[in-house]
Amino acid sequence: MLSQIVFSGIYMGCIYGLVGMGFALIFNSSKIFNFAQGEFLMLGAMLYVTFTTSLNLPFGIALILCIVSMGLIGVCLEVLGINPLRRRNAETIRIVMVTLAFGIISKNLAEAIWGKYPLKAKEILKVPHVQIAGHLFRAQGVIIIAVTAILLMILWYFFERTMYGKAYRASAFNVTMAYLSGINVRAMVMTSFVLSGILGGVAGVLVGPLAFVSSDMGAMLGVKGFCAAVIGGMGNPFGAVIGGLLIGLSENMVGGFISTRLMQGLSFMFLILVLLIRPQGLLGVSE
Amino acid sequence: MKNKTRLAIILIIVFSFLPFCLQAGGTEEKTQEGVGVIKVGILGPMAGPQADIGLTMRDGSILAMEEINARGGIAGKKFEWIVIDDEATPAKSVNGAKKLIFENKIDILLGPANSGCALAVGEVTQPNKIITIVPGQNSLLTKPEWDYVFRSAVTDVEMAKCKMNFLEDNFKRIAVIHETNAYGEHWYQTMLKMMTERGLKFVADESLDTSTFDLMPQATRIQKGDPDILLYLGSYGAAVVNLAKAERSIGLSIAHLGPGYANKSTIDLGGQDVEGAMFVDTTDLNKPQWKEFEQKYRKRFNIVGVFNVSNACQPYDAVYLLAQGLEKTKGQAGEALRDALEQGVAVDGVIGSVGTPGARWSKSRHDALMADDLVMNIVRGGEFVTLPPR
Repeated sequence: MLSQIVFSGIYMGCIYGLVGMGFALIFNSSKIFNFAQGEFLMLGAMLYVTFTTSLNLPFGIALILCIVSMGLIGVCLEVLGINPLRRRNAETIRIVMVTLAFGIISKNLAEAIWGKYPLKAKEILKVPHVQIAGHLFRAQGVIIIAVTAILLMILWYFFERTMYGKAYRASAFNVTMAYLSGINVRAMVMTSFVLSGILGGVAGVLVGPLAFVSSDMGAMLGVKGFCAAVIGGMGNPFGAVIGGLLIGLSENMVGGFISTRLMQGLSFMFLILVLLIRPQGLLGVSE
Repeated sequence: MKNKTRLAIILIIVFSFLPFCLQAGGTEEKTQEGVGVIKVGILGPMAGPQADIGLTMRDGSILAMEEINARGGIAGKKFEWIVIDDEATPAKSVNGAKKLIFENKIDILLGPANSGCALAVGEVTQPNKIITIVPGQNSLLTKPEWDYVFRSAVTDVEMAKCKMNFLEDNFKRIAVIHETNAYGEHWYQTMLKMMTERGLKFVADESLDTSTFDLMPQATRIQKGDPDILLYLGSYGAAVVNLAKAERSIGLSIAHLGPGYANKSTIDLGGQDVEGAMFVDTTDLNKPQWKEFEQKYRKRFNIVGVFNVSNACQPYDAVYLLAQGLEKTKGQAGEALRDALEQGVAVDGVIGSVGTPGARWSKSRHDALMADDLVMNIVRGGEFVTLPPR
């Protein structure tokens, strides 16, 4: 029983973490909260259903198409909604409102295109469960954990070992100095939106087969992802995963051993505690 | 730049309202030629996650009205109907009812399909003396002061009685899980009260939020209680199936009982995961009237596969009950129809178990069925089957 609860807590935590990473990346580059991050996930899941079920494409091609499409949607948000306001030095709250509006538009568009009825997404693996040490675990959960670990490694390599990643970090640390050093700051902001779109898309592909896909699925995951990002340290993608794991594991432990009625409020309780005790988050704001 | 901003604002507004614009075409009207008509409003969710409920209610009632019209109508008057989608939202339901009453001048309202909407709409139809036929189970819908409201089915209390009798007779260890929405909470309180009255206790008592994907904590706690049966109180198909998947992951295999299993959406989404699940129902699938109805219904609306049986049958029988009242009043609605229905009408139609008198209304009874009229249905081979009486 404990192993099952811990396992499902970890993969749910990874999902929150993936959404939280999207929040963190955009906050890093532009100091704004992208409240359309949950809708990025929802759109990714919807596109995955369309590519695999309606168009009957193989998983690999569907995944690539989802990544490309979501990257483009990230570009659209930056080009149409964020950049025009940033160029006019608009207040942060106005830019955040644009992300909220984008989220609402995405949800309504998804309802118009795919309907409100929950959709079934194709399983990535044909076997629903895998047996580890005599216990059955959901195969989709194993995939979620593995993909999150791989994405974390890729991001670490990108930020620590590539010139572009270092330029991104420099631009996040001090925009003016980065600009004077010849870094294309706009390109860095655009990169963060592309990466967030891609992360949302991948998260959608992973979540879809776990449950069902519907236009309202992004709302709850967006809120939990935001909590994960703040708890881990806003702007620190790795902290977002730590925050997500903390939420996922504690939700499941409390639900499994104390009461299922207490599960939903836990992420907000942690959020308040972190903001009171350690406002910079568990890992601190990324530099 | 200003033009771009304007364009962006216009696009935001257009796309925000797009779904509402698309649903604006949801009002359907069927008008009969001629002077004498009985205008019926049909109100319920016709799109979205609860569309199954509204659409089957609409189609069941239309089938009955078409049959009566084909036989010449009632006292020379034919049925005419107007359908409005309320999206299962009380505010939209009230607006829809007002439109039907004041603009379309309806005589009778069928719906709203959901209890929450019906409780709000009753405040509009009762003072305007509009006979309102509701399928919802909330006991408050047929309170004595709402004498223009009749129920096409059964109250939650009667349904709970039937459930409790079945549980008490067949199972020793009962676990419960309820959705944390108004429907689930209401059912939970009703069942908890009844369990307490009978001196019984749930061996596991859990809840779930329908937006949660992973229900492993709930499944493991249910398993810990070692139950013979799980009572699922809710109707959200995706949550029902997610719980079944979590149970399968931990090797938990128990009987399931709950209203959520009666939905087409649950069967479509769940497949094997909801096989063997049971639910209390108003339609006995062994009844010859059901078999005849099923053939007509499938043919008329081109239905293949499973559908929400009782949502279709209840309004069908309700229209025939109304027709009896209208025969007495020569097609007159309002107070005269209420009095005629209260004098007593009965139809041995599709709903009600074999051997019971079927649907009936009178002054003391505005609910078409009672606990003894109900049956226990089961999901078997992806279809619904009626279990033998206890």
